[in-house]
Amino acid sequence: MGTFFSKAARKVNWLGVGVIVGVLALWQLVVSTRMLYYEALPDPSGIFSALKYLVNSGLLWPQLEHTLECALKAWVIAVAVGGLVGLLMGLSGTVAAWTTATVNVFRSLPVVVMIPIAILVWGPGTKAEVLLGAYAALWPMLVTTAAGVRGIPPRLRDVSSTLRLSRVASVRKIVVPFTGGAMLVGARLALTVALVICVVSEMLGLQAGIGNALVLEQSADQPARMWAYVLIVGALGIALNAALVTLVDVAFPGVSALTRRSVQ
Amino acid sequence: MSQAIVVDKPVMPGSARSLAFELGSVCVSLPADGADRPILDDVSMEVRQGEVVAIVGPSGTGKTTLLRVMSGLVRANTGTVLLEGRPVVEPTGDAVTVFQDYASALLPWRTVARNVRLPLEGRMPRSEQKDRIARALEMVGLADRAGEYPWRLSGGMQQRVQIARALAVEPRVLLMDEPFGALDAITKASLQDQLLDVHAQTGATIVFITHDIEEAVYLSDRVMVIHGAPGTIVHEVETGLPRPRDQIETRDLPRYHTVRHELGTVLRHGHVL
Repeated sequence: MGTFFSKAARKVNWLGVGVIVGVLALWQLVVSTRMLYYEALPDPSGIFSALKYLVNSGLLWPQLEHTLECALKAWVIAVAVGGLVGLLMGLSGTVAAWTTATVNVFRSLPVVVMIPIAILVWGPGTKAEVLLGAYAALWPMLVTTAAGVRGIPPRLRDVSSTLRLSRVASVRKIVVPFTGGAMLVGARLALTVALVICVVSEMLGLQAGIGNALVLEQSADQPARMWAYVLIVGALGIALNAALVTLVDVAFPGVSALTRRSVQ
Repeated sequence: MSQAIVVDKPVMPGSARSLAFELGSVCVSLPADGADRPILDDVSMEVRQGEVVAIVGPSGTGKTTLLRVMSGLVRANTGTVLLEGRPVVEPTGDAVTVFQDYASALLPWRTVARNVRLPLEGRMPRSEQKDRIARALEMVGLADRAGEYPWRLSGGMQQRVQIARALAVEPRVLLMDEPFGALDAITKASLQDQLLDVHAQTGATIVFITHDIEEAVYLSDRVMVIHGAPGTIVHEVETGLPRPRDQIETRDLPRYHTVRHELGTVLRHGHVL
């Protein structure tokens, strides 16, 4: 346990933490000395008490749960569909020829314009939110996966044939692990995008979640609580990303060893 | 090492042996810039079982293509390619290729042992896989590196991993495309001797490509010179050097120098003077 903490302590970027603490202290200083004064800019301690209120009153949990559930569902759909289609596009010239133009058109359309359409079609419920998040998160997953597959050196194809690997074995043992790094990048981008789009669609018309709560606090003129929700969204993004990295570390030690190599 | 990887009938050098490869009038064209460019023209050659044959020649004469034809990675447009009497149409477990660029031929996310296991997976029980991996790694002197990732090893060690992976298949033929081309002189010499050990232990037929005349003479029973574009075999010489070979003694033999001189002349002029 002791080694775990000292390891964790060494991993922390103390300089970076120091900067954050400094910025918070400066913020507290300029606001409480009234050097800087806006109605809607509370000081950090005000935001902290608002956060405490949201946690203790139980107002936060249903919203957090809703957003988390929608973002994760959207992410899972995006990773599964984007990963599969990306693999197929990378592996097969025929699939790529048929789909590349369509993918490029759809992916350059800003997702935000789809929000009103989705709400019209599926109503302002969870389904619209999940599908919007999934739709937006699909593209980074798909594009990075396809590019990863195309980056496989031709030599590995030779290796696969001279060792007489079957088509399935070759995809499972060479293509997928080789693309693992790219897929992980895609999955991390997709997670951020899924969360952002879920929150934005909550802000733009859906009746639940952190995004919706944030907009309600805005119209209720509660800037400190609004800021607290902003912080929660940020913390949620960081936590989800860290969870994903840890998950990959445990599940695919080979891939994470490679990622560490490129950092070395 | 008492256990040989290939338990094929050991063939004594010099005795009448059956043929591993028979190539008859092989022509190959490969697509380049929309048109088919001829790479090999009317190549005929034979490789006896258990023999070590080097193919030397200038760049762009189709050496690699010739090896790929023998391995089944490329099909000849015309002519016949037989391995032990059977036509070669695709890679078989009988002949495995070792590539020059070990770094891209190994799977960096697999450990050394798991790289060697790649061709064995799903083809035999786990216990046999373990035996074969252990024997192959022992033969290239990497038994103590089984758990390392290949990119943590030196270039010479990585190439030995690739050789071990080929040996694990227990092929009767090893095809090697400039196997030591990317290594420094000292590493090269030690890998050459390791390859000779592997040959002595397994009795496998070895066909390899090299740019290095000295390496060709030192390792082989026979050296083929390929020349021209499209390439064709212009010369062939039996080295006639005794085995086991020794980096210092063998290279001092008069015969070694005669063969080297002959090959040097052919490579410079494209034919014997």
